[in-house]
Amino acid sequence: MSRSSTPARYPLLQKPLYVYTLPQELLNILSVRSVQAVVSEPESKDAEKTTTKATFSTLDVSQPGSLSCQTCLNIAFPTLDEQRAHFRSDWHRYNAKLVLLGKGGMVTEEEFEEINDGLSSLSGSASSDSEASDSNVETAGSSTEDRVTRLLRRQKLNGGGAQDGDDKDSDQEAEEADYRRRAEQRTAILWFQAKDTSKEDTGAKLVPDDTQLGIYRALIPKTISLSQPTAFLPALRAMQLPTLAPGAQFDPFEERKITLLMVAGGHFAGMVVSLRPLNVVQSKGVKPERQEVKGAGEIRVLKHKTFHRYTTRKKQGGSQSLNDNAKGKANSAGAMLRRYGEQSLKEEIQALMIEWEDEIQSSEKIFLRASTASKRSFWGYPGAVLEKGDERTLSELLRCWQELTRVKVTHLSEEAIKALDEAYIASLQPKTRPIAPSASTPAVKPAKEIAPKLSAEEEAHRERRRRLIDMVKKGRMEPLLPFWEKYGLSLGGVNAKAESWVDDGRGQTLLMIAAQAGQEDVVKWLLEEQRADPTVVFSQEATRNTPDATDAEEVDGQSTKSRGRTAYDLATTKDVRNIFRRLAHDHPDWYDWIAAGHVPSGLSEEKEQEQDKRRAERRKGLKEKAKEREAKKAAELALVPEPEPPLAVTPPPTAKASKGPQKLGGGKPNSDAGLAGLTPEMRARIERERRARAAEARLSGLGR
Amino acid sequence: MAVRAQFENSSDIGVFAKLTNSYCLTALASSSNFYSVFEAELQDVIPVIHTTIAGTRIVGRLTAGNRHGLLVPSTTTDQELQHLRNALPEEVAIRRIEERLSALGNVIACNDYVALVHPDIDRETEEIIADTLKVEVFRQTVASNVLVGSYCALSNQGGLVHPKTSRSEQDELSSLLQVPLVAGTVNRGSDVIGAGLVVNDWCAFTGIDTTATEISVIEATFKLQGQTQSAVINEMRDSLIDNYA
Repeated sequence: MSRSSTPARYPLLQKPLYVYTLPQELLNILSVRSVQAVVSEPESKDAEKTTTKATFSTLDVSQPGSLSCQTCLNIAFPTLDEQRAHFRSDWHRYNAKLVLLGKGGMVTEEEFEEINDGLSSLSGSASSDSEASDSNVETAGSSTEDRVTRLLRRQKLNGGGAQDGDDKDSDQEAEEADYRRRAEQRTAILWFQAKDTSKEDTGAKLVPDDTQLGIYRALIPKTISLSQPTAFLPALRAMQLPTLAPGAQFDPFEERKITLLMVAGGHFAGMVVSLRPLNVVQSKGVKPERQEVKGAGEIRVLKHKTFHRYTTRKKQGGSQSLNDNAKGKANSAGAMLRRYGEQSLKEEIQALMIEWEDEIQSSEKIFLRASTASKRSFWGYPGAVLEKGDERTLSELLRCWQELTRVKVTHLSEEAIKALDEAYIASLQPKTRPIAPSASTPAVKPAKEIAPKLSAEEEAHRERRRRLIDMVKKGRMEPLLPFWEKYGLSLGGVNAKAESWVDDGRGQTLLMIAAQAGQEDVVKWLLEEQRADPTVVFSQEATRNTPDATDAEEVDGQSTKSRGRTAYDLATTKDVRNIFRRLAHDHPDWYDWIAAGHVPSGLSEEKEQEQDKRRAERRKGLKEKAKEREAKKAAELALVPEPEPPLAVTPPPTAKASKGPQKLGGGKPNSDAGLAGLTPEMRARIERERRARAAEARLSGLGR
Repeated sequence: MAVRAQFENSSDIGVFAKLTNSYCLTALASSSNFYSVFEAELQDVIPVIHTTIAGTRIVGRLTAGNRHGLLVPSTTTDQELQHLRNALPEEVAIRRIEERLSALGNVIACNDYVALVHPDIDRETEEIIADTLKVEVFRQTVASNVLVGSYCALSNQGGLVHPKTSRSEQDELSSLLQVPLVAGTVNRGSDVIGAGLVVNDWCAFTGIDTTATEISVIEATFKLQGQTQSAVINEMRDSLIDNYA
């Protein structure tokens, strides 16, 4: 709400207006204009309804006897059977449950029936006529239990305050009640419409048309609720300072004061302001009063004080005590300082409060800005000046004071206001509402995908494509199969080329990606089961950024640049290429393997077996040769009688010796005497063990 | 005849025993003192059965029953069920109930003709109660308490209800039950009537803390010693109301 420039012909609006010194002429033409005032009309309707309901229930009250029901509006029964039947009826059970849920409002039988039938509205008068005649009670059906519980559940979902199902029949009414409640909570500023009707003909208007004055709601007593907008004007009039007759002496006892206190982040600022403005303008006979505070203008500051203590954790934010509470006491020097700072800030504030006690007590209103934790500096301690029930450096305070008391003036046309109101109401809506339509739109127009901003669906689609490519590259068949089953079609089928936004493999089909990554299983699956087309050509432009492609080219060894490459050309391993060749042999009718698919020749099973056999034979020959060589070596070794010393340094025995429990077999190192009675073989073995141990000791010594 | 008893230093005997016109259940205690009190009164008339329910001793709060039947919660083991079946008289039906509110003794208050039940009890449970116990079932509260079994004790002769039950509510309940009701206390002022008192048509057992005055109110209410209900008002007035100051 910008303060638009006021035409010079309205002198009233040239100077800032203050709430407490509004010109009398202006006050006379004000009227409340706000969202709340607009929607407050249905409320009176509600009131009407409740009155009709009240008369209604009194009709039912009959003399209390034993044959009555306490729960259901004290109705009486002529016979015991009827009473018993009533106690088994849904109506009674519904009322009984309402009582248990702590929702006082009982419903009459007709009301219950209507709620039950799901009729949207309850017209009180019509049903009250039939009430007296219709006294026979419905007996409980078999599915009625569900009826009562369903009914209660439905009403619980209605949410909020009073809900016995009768004054909240339509959604619209519930919505309006919701607006009102929210508006009541949220509006900080009350808007008044200034409509000058008196001098319309003369053209000398006080204010232009479409002028709104905004006043902070906090200035108006809390007792006036938004439901009674007409009460605001008298309150505003009562707030005005009495105009002093010229030359009359001001009575200091009549001074009206307002206190402003602000504390945040270790800064404290407080002042007491007199509502009587300071006379700073020199006029005849009146000396301008001295302004004590620089920049205060016409504000008469009675007391002011600011101070600062180091309490806030730099770079982290939050007060030390909050951090202590959340994480336990920190022990750093800074933490101690801050803790001390907090304590002394609190003490200083409390001392100041006592000093200013008189002013504060005589203040009309006290405006306090503090966090929940720092509010404790103001009340809740013995000798506190402020009570919790009481209703922002200094320049900031002055700014706040002006903000608070200066009347906001806007000049908006009716349409603009209407638009603003709508925006306001929209802002009050629960967040779920705007989402609902947007979620349905992409389904209707897939063209939206072209839009630069990605929709949620597009995002999901891209994510799926990336995952798919990833799975193909890594050859993870298990997740790939169910994934393909689920999303394969939506991802454009098997021959779709990867979109340009894919990190790698752009412009390639899945088969190409799999072939390039050397994933045989995937290639086989793609070709055999998914019938991926191997003849799809991968255009050259897209490859430029992919280095793998050039590698593949080198491997391939044939110039394919001129004609574009197929999946076979991109295959990096022989096994993958063999898959292509095998399928080309088995199913030559599927595609033009050789010409379009660049597969050199089919590979039949027999051919392969033959190749395998040849390879196996060759390998066998090699093996035999190796065996022979080994045998020869062994024979040579056998000829050498004492190969022990070199064996001692070989790893196997060391490994053996390193195992703890096997030490037992070794015997003691210095038990030479024990060796005397042993056979030479045994001695040699023991000797070997000993050397091995020594070698191990040396090796471990080196390793350290 | 009202008899005082205690269960291992607890006077809430209604928690550990269930008394009806055709059987009596008592919990297994470390000594047989508790059992003996019941045995002495009821021997040769009705069977007094030692049992646990779901392995616990709070048999009085977990079960509900009358002359026609016994209802046990779903947590009751097969063994316990078999034991009860063997010990109970032939004509007493026994049913295991699948009900969320498993402390049946707390949610059902019944005599041989009428049962008051917790308002939130299942539809099916309600039908089982009606069939097994052969009673009329009413979903009710006693002095705004949903645990009707805890806050009242009923017999075919009368009923003792929560002391804060209003006059009109007493009237309403008594016309539903077709027995006279008296609001009162047990165990020296305890309002959990169901926990402090078990009663059938000819005898009652109360907690050891129950005062003589409370006993006389109980005896008059349940017509245990030839007194009539009016005795509560006429003869006991002085002892019930100390002074008018």
